[in-house]
Amino acid sequence: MRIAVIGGGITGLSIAYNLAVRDAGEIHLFEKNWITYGSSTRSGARFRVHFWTEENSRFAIESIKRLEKLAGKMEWNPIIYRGGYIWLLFNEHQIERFKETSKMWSKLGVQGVFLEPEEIRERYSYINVDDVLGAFYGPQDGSLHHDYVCFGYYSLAKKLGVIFHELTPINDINIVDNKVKQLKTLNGVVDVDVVVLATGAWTNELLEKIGIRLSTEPVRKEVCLTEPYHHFIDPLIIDMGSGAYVGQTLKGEILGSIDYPTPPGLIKLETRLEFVIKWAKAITKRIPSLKNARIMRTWAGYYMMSTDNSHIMGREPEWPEGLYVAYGYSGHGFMMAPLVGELLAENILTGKTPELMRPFLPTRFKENKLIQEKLVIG
Amino acid sequence: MDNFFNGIRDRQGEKVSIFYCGRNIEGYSSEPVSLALYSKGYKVLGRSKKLYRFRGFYSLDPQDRIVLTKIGDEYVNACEIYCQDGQNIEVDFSTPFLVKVFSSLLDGYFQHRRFVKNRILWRLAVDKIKQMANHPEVRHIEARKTGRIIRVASDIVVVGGGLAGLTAAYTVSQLGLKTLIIDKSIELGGRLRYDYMDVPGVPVSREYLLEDILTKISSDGNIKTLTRTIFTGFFEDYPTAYSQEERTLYILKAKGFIITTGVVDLPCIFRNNDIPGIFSASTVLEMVNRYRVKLGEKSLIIGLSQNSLRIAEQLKRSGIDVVMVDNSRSQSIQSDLSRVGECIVNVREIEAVGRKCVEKANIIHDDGRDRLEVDFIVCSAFSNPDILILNQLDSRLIYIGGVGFVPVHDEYMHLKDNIFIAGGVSGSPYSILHLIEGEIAALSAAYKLGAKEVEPLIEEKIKEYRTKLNEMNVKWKNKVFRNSRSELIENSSFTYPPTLFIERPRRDAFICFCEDITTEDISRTVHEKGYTLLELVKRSLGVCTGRCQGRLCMVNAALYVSYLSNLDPSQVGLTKARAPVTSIPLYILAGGEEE
Repeated sequence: MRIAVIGGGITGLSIAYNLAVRDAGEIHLFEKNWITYGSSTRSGARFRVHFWTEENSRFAIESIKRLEKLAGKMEWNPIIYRGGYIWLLFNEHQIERFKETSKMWSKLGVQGVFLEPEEIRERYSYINVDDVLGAFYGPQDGSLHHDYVCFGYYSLAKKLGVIFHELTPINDINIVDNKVKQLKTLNGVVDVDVVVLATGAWTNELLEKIGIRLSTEPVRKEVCLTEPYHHFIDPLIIDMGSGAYVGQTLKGEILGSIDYPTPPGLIKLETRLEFVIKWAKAITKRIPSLKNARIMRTWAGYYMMSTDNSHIMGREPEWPEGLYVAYGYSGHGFMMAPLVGELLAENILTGKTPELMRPFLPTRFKENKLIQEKLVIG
Repeated sequence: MDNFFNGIRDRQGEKVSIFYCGRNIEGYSSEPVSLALYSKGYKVLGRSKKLYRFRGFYSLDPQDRIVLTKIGDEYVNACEIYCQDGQNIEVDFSTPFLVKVFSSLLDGYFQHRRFVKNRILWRLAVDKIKQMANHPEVRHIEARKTGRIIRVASDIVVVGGGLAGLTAAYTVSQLGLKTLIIDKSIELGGRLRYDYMDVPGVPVSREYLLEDILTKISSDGNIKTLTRTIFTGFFEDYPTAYSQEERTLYILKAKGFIITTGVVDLPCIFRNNDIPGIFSASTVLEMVNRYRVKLGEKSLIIGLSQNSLRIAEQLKRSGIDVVMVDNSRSQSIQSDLSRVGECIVNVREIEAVGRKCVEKANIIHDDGRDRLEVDFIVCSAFSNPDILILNQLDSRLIYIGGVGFVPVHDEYMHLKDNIFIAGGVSGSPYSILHLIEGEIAALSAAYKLGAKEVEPLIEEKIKEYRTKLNEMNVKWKNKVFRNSRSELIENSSFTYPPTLFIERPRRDAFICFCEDITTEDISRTVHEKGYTLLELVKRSLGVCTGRCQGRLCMVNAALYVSYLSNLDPSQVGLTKARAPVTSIPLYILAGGEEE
């Protein structure tokens, strides 16, 4: 069997690796730029297991386990570090909702801790808690090195014989008798039996060419990074009041972002000064000692938002035979991709839908079985 | 001779007392702290990030923030801060025990499979690793400063106040357009200020040229200037500039931009090329001529070019002995060498010797080896256009052998949209070409803004420009012009990196000073991992992600990768620079009362 994976980000790499491990046949991976180019390399490089819905939480827990297991095998150290996430809460309503959801988290074995303002001050003396009512701390969440994870998968997949076509955009997918047949590239035509679209924000363009529409849209998100400083912020701090988040990378840089209205679509990946100023204001209020930090770089990437803020994987029965998708992560793709690759590979090879994957099928939109994930950061 | 040492005016300023690790040192209020310390023999300004190596300053440019020094309670670039009475400068000379023992833990790779496989060990290791890097503290410094944000409107913004920039600004304002000059240095003039030799091709003397243009600029009501202000690049919504001195962020509004950022003298790659006492070519001229600091008795100049000869001659005139070395076999300029000093060609490897500063240099060449006593080393092998802003703008860059990565522009000095370039940033050698390009850029910008009457003048200037290009033998510009008319970029050919002075990758030959990345790190990435795109090398090692934003390392890294992988430099490519191209403190962005 000849399988083409389109997209050389974390999802494509994970799928290609998992297919190769299962001896799926001849696997080709097409990437229009270089490996990691799209949203993977622009990621905030964090993972969490705390989601609003049980489906997503369960998925993330398993996914990180897979990545940790794989870490020892990779040629690259994914630098997984569980520094925790802390959500600063500002009103009774927020606290109540977190308390309610935390019952589900405890059931899944990822208990968090509720902190009173004094406790926050004790643990993280640098946080200004004057207007904070409480906080939820999730110790299981943390950070990873996004590029190294991708490179790790890349080198594993390469060893297993996956054929990489970098700098090779796919212009068209030929369908014959409701079956995927060929991929058109600049260098010619490739015959294929299975096509997996792991093309993130660029998926709609390809799907529309074969007449498929799913309600997803890319939204540009901007990120700020400061010069490196001596490490002092362990968790990722999410300010539920201003919508800002901030954390420190293991290299020492302080990274963060804030909600800022942006029209949807594949708009140019540039950053706005107005956004930087808004973030600077929010974050120096929360952590006053960051006033002396200097912003070194800003960049932008896309969140591929789906209507229920959860990823889409697998296929619909009516679709051309051999066509699969894995995208629409709505901002939390990096943490989900290790498991997505594994489940989708099983699904493609056996035709069976694994239990964990079932809620995320594209058919959920027609069947109105939406997941409704409310905890999206940034 | 006497006249030679008479600068435009005396730049000594008043005497002040500063303290280096508790020792009282005399400085002058007009001197950067780094320079005052160096002149008194205190050359170490800080330690490097990973390997805790002693570091001084490579250039006086405020954008080259490769080492931060604790002055008072702030960590700053000591080249950006001028001496003030009672300043305290602290340098920590100790190396943490863990770094001494486990320095390999901090290498660019982070490849510790033994640790990773054992999850408990990894957890212990990662806790240590995050504390091991030598970074400034931000946490314990009291944040009491406030900044401001000011909006400035002008018809044209000229970035850079050197020969090209000043000419452009004056030409634009003569057409009745409001002009704003932004320059990062303390006063306008650029190279004219510190290179005391005449500008090639210009019929008048340097002194006359500088005074004439400065008088014109200062008496012109249409021109405003912001000195000690760094243009920080184009955000999607606004172009910005930032002044550390004024604690101000400027939001610029203009109809056109003329970028004349000049060139960057690239650091040479040789063993121990990071220790204090190794300087960029222009910085040495600045120190010797403008600040009149006694740098030592003996110097080594790396690189044999017309530019090196100018430096050698000026060092010689201030009583410094010069030895010049180069890796090439070029004999063309050797004839002029006898009057400036000794010369060693066909050099294969250079090693700087010394711990806290350069003391000696070992030179291995085809005919044997030499051991020289030197007080400082000048990197003058190669200058690349300062393309940081243009790279951030996503403009096309083309590699030209011997010139570097050059932004693709046409004869009208037009880059893209409403942006024009002139001078060193366009790749032109320091000469009358800078002047003509300044005029052309200004006229084209004015034309774009609606001054259609200048058209015949532009054509006339371009004719003159073409003649001068021919006279000065700058043939490669035609290739740049040709590329500006088509979408495709012509391939360049493989070249030996002009800054490379090692025979094999070395652990002590650095490419990136901010992140402590050596030639060995890069060679491992290229050979073991097979990455040959600079974007991927950057992502695996962190090269070009440090505080200097790749200003000093990007071109060197690209040329070195191309050398290792036998690809031509345009295939290796550069990495994308992002706004802001120089870092801006958060208190300025946050506290900014808009005015």
